Amino acid sequence: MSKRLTCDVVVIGAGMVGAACALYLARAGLATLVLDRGPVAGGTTGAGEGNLLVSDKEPGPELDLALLSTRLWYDLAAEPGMGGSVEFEAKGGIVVASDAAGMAALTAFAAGQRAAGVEAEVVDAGRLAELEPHLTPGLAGGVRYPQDCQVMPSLAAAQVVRAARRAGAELRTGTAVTDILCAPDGSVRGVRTAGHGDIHAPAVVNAAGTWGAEVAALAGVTLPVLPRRGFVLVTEPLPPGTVRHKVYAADYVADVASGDAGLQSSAVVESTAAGPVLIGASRERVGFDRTFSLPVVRRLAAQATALFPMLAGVHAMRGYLGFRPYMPDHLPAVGADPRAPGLYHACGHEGAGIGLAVGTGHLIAQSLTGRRPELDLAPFRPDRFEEDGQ
Amino acid sequence: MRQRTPLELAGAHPGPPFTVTVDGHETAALPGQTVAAVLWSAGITSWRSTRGSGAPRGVFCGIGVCFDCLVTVNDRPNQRACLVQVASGDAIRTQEGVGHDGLG
Amino acid sequence: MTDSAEGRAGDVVRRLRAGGGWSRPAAKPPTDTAPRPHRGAVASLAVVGAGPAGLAAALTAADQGVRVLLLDSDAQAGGQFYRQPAAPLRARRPQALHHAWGTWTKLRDRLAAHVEAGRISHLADRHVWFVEWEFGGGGLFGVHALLGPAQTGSETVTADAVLLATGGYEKVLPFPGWNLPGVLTAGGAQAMLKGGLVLPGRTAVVAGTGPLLMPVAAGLAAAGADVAAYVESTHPADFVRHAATLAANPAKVAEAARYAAQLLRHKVPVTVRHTVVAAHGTDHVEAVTVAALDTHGRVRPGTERRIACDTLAVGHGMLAHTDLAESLGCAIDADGDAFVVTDAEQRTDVDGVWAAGEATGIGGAVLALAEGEIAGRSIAARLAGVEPRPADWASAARTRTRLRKFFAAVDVAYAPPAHWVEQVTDDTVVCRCEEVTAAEVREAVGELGATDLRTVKLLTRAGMGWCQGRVCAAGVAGVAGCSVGLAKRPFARPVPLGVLAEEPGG
Repeated sequence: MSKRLTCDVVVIGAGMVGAACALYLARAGLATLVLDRGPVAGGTTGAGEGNLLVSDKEPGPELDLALLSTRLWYDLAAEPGMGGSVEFEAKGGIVVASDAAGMAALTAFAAGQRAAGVEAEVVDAGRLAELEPHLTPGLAGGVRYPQDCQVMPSLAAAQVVRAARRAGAELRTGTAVTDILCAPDGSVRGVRTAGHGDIHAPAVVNAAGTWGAEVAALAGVTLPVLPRRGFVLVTEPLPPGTVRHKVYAADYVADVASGDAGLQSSAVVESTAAGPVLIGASRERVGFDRTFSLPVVRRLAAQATALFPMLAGVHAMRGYLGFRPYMPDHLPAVGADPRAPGLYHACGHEGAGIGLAVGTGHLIAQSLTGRRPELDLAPFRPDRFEEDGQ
Repeated sequence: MRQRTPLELAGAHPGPPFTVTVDGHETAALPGQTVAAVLWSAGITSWRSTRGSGAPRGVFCGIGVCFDCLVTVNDRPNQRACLVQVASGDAIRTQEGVGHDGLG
Repeated sequence: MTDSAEGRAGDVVRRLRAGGGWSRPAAKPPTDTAPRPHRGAVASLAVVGAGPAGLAAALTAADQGVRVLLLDSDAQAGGQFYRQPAAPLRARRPQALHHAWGTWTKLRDRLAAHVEAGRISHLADRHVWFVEWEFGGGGLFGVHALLGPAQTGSETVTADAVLLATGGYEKVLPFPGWNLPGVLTAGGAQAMLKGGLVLPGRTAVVAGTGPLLMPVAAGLAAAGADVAAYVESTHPADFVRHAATLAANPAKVAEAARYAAQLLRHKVPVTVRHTVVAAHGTDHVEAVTVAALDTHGRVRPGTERRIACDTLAVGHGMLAHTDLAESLGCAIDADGDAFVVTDAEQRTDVDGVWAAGEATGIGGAVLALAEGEIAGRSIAARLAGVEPRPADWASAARTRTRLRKFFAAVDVAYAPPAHWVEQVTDDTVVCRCEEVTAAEVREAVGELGATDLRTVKLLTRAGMGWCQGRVCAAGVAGVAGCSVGLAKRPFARPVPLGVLAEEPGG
């Protein structure tokens, strides 16, 4: 009974990012143990929309990660049984502009993305009406992004964890990590758990999402991951084809990149495989405040019905909120932490974690097995916020 | 012996019956009855099919909680038959799946 | 009156509460010391629900001079217990389907007098979907209600205090065939009978467990249905162990005896320690299989018996409507079946919010009346800035103590069969709205890492449909082997997006 528990790597967090890390680590041949204090998909993963987007990203490291992830998602979805079980839909995204000035800005933005490898097709008002028949008339036009896809996030995490287990990984839910064990030189030696003793491993991956700062602190390092609250409304089920793409207004891109702490919202409207339409994307910095805010939800509803007038007569059945983990420069932390050898971070993906998870997991596995990561990880360095001289 | 009816038991003396249509068929209704009561009185106990398996459904909770008794009334889908009172001339339609025939 | 009422109203404050769920944010500072903004002369109370608890509270508070807005989803007051035949049916003998009619007529007459005097506004056909704390920043509660059964419009009323008397609904645990038309809740059969004077079919089986079943069977029989069997999974002997509780509640004993006599008169076969293991039929229920239970609550093999019927009225107890309280941030006890936590004055832990009746724990109409009266007294005093005197409600408090004890015993005695989950076959639909089977729930737990009801929901869609898990939560949790926990339903009812999109008043 007192057998020393060891493995090659402990992944903390069984959300989408932890699941993807476990999958690629296990497939790289490492004995991988995934721990979560709650169930699978219990945190931000279970409170998101499941976006795999390139459309909302400007050229730069995040877009590079998104393009890598998109490729990997297509590969994953093509594996037997996977695509259907995670409700993978290559539906494409459409960003719309209400007036000529907005259209000009959007067109310029799309041109930059195209140069970085994104497929982006400028569509006029007539084509827009063909692509989305229930869109409000009178929009100036839009850009279609065929690479944007969607999965059902909780199913995605659960099925990817299941695939990781088939590759040899082990999952323990209901197991909170209370400490990260370190050698005198600061290098990681494993984790201490509540109720399940110590688990020894030369590597620990922090995939704790919004709670990633707390996990980093257990290893004595600072990682500025902060929560950004987002509400999502869910409608009654509608017929397939009512809303065909992920549709949002151009100002969503500005919201995502915004440093403003106040409420921003711009309706993101999309159908799901199960029938309900999701209306998302309020963003507020209010800490871990779980209060349901009717004013925020009213604003989302107003913006959604402005985009799709027929939604006015459709019922919102529920709403939920989640906390998107963000870092000050809106890039995630991905890779080894030089301050605590053996500690790797894979968190801080803000509202894009479901999409970016697979690229992240792939890069973490490459780093951990001593291979050269497919992307330059310098922009994602976990210690990039340390002040000079520390 | 003829069984007595709930109307007799409660000594109801409603106003004159009127007509509504159920999938186009004229059906008698009493003032004050809900759509579900009219359908039950006409011997109809299911009027919706589910969007998954197409299974028939009717009243389950009877008090507006379960949404099993959804029905289309005067072209408005997803009304709870157990709550909505009928009016003369109402067009009641059975409903398939999500009920929003005009969308999609 | 004007000046003093304004000054006294200042004592009602809203305390903030930290914690999980939709609770108040810990980040905002408490407002205990903040002065109350001046408003109208008379303090106002919004009562949500016009059943026994809401009526008693509204009448008591109005007696004390509080201005009451009584919101209720029905066209007529009374709730489920005092449900009346729809007015246009013009029933001369509505009491034929009720007992305690005298209590109802007194409540009805007092309500009429207060409405006449302008002290109570009875806002019927209002389906409250959200109660907003600090509505518009003005220190008032905003009570948002959809209008009429069609629910295309919404109305918002504001008040200084809120009483949640949102009542309850029936719990039904799943079994094969429970999703066939003709299978309905016992309470649903009763509501359709009391309100619409209609029967679901000719030949009914009434089955399950709990004190509601006997009046339902008696009512169906009296109204002309052939009740082919009354099947209760517990045994009267189980309840006799609570002899002291029974002795303290002679009215309850007499009530049960009266229903038993009615069942005898209508020659209803009574079967105890049996359970329905399946309902049969293709497009409609044609028969049920009942089987005997052993003393451990397990079906005894070989005892199955088929009973032909076109109606199965079934129930396994009652559940409280806690959504509005939960989204207001009130503490909910969700260790077992969830209920709103209240103190001796029926206050929740969110200041300005009281709760009474089934919402605070299942206990029937007489308990609800007592709790409503206590709440009404407390609200009137506190809105006037006066410390309430428990001596003013001593009699109601005694009733409350006695009946809570009684219903705690009822709860134990009428527990569903301990091993009901064993009868739920893999192909049984457990979530009616989304048609999720028991096999899918079991896979989410066994294969996909779900350990709680929320994750089961996310992985299977059980509880994501129109009813938002109100009907299936207990059944799905049982099959999953986890607890129900907090529901986290921000809207008490589905709300059209067009209604949500419109700011009230502006």
